[in-house]
Amino acid sequence: MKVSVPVSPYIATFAGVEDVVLSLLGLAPTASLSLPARPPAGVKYSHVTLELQQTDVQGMLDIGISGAVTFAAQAKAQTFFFLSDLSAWVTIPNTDPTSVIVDATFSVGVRIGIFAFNLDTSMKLDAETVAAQATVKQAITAYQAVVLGAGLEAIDAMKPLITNSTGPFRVETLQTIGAVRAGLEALLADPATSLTPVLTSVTVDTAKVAQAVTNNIVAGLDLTTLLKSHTFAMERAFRSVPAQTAVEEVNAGKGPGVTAPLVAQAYQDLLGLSGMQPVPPDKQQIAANVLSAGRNL
Amino acid sequence: MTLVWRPINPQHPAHRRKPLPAATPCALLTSAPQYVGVNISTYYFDLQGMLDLDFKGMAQYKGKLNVAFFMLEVACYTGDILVEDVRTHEIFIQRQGVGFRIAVANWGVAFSTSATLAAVAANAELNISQTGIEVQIVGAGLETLPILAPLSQMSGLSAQSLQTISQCAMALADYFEQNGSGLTPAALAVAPIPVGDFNQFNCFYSGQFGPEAIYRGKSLADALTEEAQYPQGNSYVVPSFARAVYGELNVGDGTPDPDAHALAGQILAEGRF
Repeated sequence: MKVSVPVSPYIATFAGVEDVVLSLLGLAPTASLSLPARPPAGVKYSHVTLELQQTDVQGMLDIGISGAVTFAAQAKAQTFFFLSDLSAWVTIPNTDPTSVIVDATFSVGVRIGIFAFNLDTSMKLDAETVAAQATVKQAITAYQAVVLGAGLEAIDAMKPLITNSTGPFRVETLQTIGAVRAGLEALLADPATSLTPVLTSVTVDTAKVAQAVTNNIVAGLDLTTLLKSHTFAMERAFRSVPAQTAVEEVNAGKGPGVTAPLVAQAYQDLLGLSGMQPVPPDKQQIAANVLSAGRNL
Repeated sequence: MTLVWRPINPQHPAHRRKPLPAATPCALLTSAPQYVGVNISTYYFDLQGMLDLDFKGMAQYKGKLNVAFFMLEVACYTGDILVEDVRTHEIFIQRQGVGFRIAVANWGVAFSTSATLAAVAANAELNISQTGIEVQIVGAGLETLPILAPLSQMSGLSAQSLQTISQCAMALADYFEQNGSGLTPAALAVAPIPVGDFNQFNCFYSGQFGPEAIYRGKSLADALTEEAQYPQGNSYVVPSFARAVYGELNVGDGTPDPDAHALAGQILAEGRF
């Protein structure tokens, strides 16, 4: 399964591995998180798209608008968050075949986070309605712009959008966004301009994640099989079943969808147990801790 | 990865961080260049936050009723670097640049009518609320520039001062474009890197968390938001791994359908005999 994961633009050398996408740290061993591919010069971008979507505080933080958190805390009223993305993008394949990252999307443009309260929610909430309500002073709004990539200073309309940032999001703001969009289209059409895009999302292959975290001991492994095998191992260890007995149970057909070598590996890697070694109480507790995950939801 | 930027005071000893030398096993590549124009951010703080940022004048508003503090930062950033906290050995991304910060104290009105700087200015104009401001210029080489002189002449926040701020922001952008290399950037904000190296326990935990959350009918965003309120579990959940599980079970960003619920149930039932 291919899964698109939004990421922050930071790519770094981490623990000796080059070109690591920092947002993905912890997903799989660091060596499998590299993204050496970069958009070549003169790459062709998509058309500029403008999207407005409702989001939550987390969505605001993800685009770098930290002020939204305290705004929401102090407003003491239902706060609405909107994320407007005005950008052109390009997706390129990863050049490292051992990486869990299949391809990466780089974008250039502006992201605008809008926070609002006192909104009349009986109307459909799109950019125009929110702006109109702010213009007639019915709703309280503020917006903050985050620029993606470099080279955009050539767009004249950009400056007013940025310098009025933190002000209300009004009908005039929408007009400015329209002007920025035209400027961005013109820049993209001009072969002489040099734009530097930033990494905004990656596509991860879940089967490769499963293979990387198990050190490739089972060929063609998929994530569902890994999840089933891990759960099986933890449930058996929790019931004080030794590793070898658990493996025999799988071979006897008691774990549909479970792969025996992964069960043995789970006992070894997480609990340090193999063969007929009994499961001591502290190891049993580790299994119980894993099994408690998400049960508080 | 969610980066929460926190503005810092470059002079404050507790805010001091050590840049990681380029040769260490951890280095930020220059693949994320900054927009070289001007950036504006607002922060909402309490009094202590203001004092930490060296806005000493704000202390006089202590004890006022319904006082709200804002900090507006207008800056041109030069690039992000990795730094290490000298005391805790945590790694942060640090943003540096030149620009100015304006602290605004607004009192006499509820937050809902003073949520944005424009609203504060409008209220002050109508004598509904009162404001006090303090200006700091950050980055050596900028203090003496005539383009920023109008800032120090402002006495409160009004429609007029908002215009002044906007004009100074534009002037700063122009100046930075031409003379940016002659300025000395200062450390402006840090964001901790909230992810760690790969760890077996977290991998197992996240692999259990995903199906459990899907089985309980939660969308990924809801599950992660709820988990954030539960420190006993939250530190073990790797959000990107949970997202991979949601993708694997065909849930994506939505809420789980009956098929996903059934599949999650099957995963969770393994070994329960």
